[in-house]
Amino acid sequence: MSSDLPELEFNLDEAFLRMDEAIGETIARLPDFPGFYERRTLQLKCAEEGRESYEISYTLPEATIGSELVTMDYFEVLKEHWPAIGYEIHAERKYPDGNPKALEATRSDGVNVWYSNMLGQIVIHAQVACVRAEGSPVCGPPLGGVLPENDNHKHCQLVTPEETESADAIAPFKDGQAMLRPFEQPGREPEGFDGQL
Amino acid sequence: MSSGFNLDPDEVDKVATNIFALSEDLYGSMKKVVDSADGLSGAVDTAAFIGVSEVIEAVSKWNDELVPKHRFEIEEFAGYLVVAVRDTVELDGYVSSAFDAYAAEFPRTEGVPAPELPARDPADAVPSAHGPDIAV
Amino acid sequence: MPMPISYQALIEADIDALQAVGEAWLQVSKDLEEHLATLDDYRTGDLKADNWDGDSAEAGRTRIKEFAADLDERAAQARRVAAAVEDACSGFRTSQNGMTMLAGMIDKEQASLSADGTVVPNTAKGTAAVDYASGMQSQVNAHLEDATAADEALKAAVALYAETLSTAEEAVLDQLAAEEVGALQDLIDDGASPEEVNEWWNSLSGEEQIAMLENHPELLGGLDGVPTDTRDYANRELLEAELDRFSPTLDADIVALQAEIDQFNDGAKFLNSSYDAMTDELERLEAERDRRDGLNSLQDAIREQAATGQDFYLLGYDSAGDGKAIVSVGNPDTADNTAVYVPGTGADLSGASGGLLDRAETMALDAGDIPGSGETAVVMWLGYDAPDNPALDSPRMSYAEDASAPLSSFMSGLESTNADPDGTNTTVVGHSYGTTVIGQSASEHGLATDNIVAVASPGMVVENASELGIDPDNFYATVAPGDMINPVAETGALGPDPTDGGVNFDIGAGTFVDWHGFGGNTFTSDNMEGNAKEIHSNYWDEGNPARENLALIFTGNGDQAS
Repeated sequence: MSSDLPELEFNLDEAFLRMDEAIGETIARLPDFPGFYERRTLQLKCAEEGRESYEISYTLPEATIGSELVTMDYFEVLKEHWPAIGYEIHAERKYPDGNPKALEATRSDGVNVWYSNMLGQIVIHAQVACVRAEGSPVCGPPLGGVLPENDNHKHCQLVTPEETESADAIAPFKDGQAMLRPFEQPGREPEGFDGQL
Repeated sequence: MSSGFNLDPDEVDKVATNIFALSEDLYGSMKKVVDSADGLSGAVDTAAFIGVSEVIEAVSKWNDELVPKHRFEIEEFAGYLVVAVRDTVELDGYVSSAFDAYAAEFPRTEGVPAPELPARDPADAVPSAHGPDIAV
Repeated sequence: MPMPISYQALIEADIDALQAVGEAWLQVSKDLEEHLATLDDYRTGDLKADNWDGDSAEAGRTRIKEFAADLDERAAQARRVAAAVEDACSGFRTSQNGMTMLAGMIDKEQASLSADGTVVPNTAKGTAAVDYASGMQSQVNAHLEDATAADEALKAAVALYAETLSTAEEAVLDQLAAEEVGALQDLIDDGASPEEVNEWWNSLSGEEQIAMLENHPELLGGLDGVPTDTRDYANRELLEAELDRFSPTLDADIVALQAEIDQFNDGAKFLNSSYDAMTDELERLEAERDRRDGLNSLQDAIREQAATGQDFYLLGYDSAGDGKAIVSVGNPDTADNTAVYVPGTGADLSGASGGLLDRAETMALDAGDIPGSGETAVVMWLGYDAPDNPALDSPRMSYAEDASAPLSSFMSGLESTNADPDGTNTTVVGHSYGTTVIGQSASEHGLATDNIVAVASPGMVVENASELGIDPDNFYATVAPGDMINPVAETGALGPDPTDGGVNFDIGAGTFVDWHGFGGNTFTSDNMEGNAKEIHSNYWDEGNPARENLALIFTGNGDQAS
């Protein structure tokens, strides 16, 4: 957020696509990933004139609330997965009882990803801080099987990937979109992380 | 004055078609209100329930006057877009004859009528040197 | 006056049919909102200036904006019609059910209920049966009167919101309003409390309420004790009317006047007496343009829904000076949790429709993620003139003193209009100088709230959380390391540091305070690697733990804040 930080390598055109891409990379190695229920967007103020901050959030389905898999195991997976794909973990927070509350990491292009456990409800946020307000914010289809009625993309215009060159350029869905998986055994131990998506 | 699209004309056509489709959607959602209100006078004694009677009147006013006006504006704008991209000329405003030429760009879904605006009260008519300036 | 609804009509009415119509109206509202969002997407996307330029393009984008605004207004009308139908259905059902129960309760030995709703005494049973029948008849009539009142309210609401008001009906509403406005004016002049205002409002029939809303939005819009949806309607009407009053040639007038002024060379400026008058006029016009632009931004900001899917409610605004605005994300009258956010130094009308409202939206979104917490409404309360300059103005108490009574009144108003005040978890959260306002208001007038939160406080006037009028366990404070407010808080100029970080020196007495701590709780927030000034305003930014903690407190889970 500091003005001393280097310029982001992208502007508003790509901001939401980049955020979706980072979330796609984050969930790619989560075992038995149950899919997402909802996508939302937020705009946040940047202290610098001509720049804006944005956030995209995905919530996990209600059936996962409080499950050990998403509130405990995924934290452990991400602690290994994020550094393995070049993300830098910069924050880890716990509840007073010691249970995981949040884990945050930054991708090399400045996108911040925040895995948040809100009393059992998991929300994955991605954020870009103080991006140049040049261009029009567009976003691709939501990840993880979010239904259109639960896709609240108030701050970006929905486009299909072929509709925009920049979407193709950064190919947020190149590895396939995370699919909705049944969440039948919420508390079970992960059986292995390879090839789950 | 300069004017122009930096978009592929097909893209503009697509936008215009999508905007035109909003008019039809609006017709569809208002029709659901009309359909649901159709049975209301048999279900409730509207002579006794003056509020329910007002609801029926409101449905009628919206369906006959207000929603057609919005539909008209939406369709008019869709036509404006098509004219602008086809002629690539600076338009002074909405020109009905030009819109008529592109009427076929928006084939209407069967069962969805064109918005018919209520006839103007002649007393409200303002004489215009250029004649009518809106497409119908 | 219309005839009351008959017994037969009430019993036979198929309320489900009416309910279905109400639901269809609501769907129209949703469809309209979706359409206007699509149109706006085109305006700022495919049809933006990069893709379509020139005067026609500009006119086209203006056109989209205009009819999207019309659709927005129409969507709001449809939603209000739907709500009026829903209210009426609820009233009709209550009367129908009451009547059915009453019919079952009638002692057949004493009386019988005829088809027209008359309770006929069994005269063979003497005067006791007559008295009994009379009592039952009163109850039958009461149900019919309730149904009639609900019906009249429905008629007035639909007529107003759906624009079916006839001239004759308008005259009736004008008459009703004329009869009531005196009572309201007296209440205002006497400084009636929000509770008294609310009592007055609830004493009106539905038709009278609509009459007042139609005729006197200027009295209702900012009046604490009037329900949120009514204030919202009144304020949106006032805002629209105020915007309509600006000259349509304002921008052109400024350009023309500027061009005239530019004609003067340096010498002529001093010689020509009209130069000063023209520059004064230009300044006046530019101030007017800024005011118009600020109001336009506010109107745009509350159009459509929030990112949470909640509606915005405009609970008050004032374009004078720096401007004021009270905007809620979600309806605090019906929400399960309500947070009232009081911003600090530098807050103005442009912030109220920009960054400050974004923060309210962010807090509502975060709180909504707490499972089982229900809906959280977050009110951005800029109902005061906030200090402009952190160095020069913020140490002054005058801003907080001026804001003290209005904030207290607002909170009491929310309590009086709340559908379930005891079941709602309420929090007042201040940022920076906003915490000083809260401290002043809580200690001077009292705040109707369960929790108080101080974010980056320079001091809250009081020495201890126990002086805020709430259980100190429900007080929370946070400040990030490196925040520029830390040295300010340490001076103690506005009271001791509520995060217990200051030296707590009493400037007036020239001594250190005998310090036992502020009390309450503290929670973590991050400096997000900003500089001192940035840290002071980034509590709502990208992953700041303050956001999680605020969400927990707002939803009654403050014990989990850390």
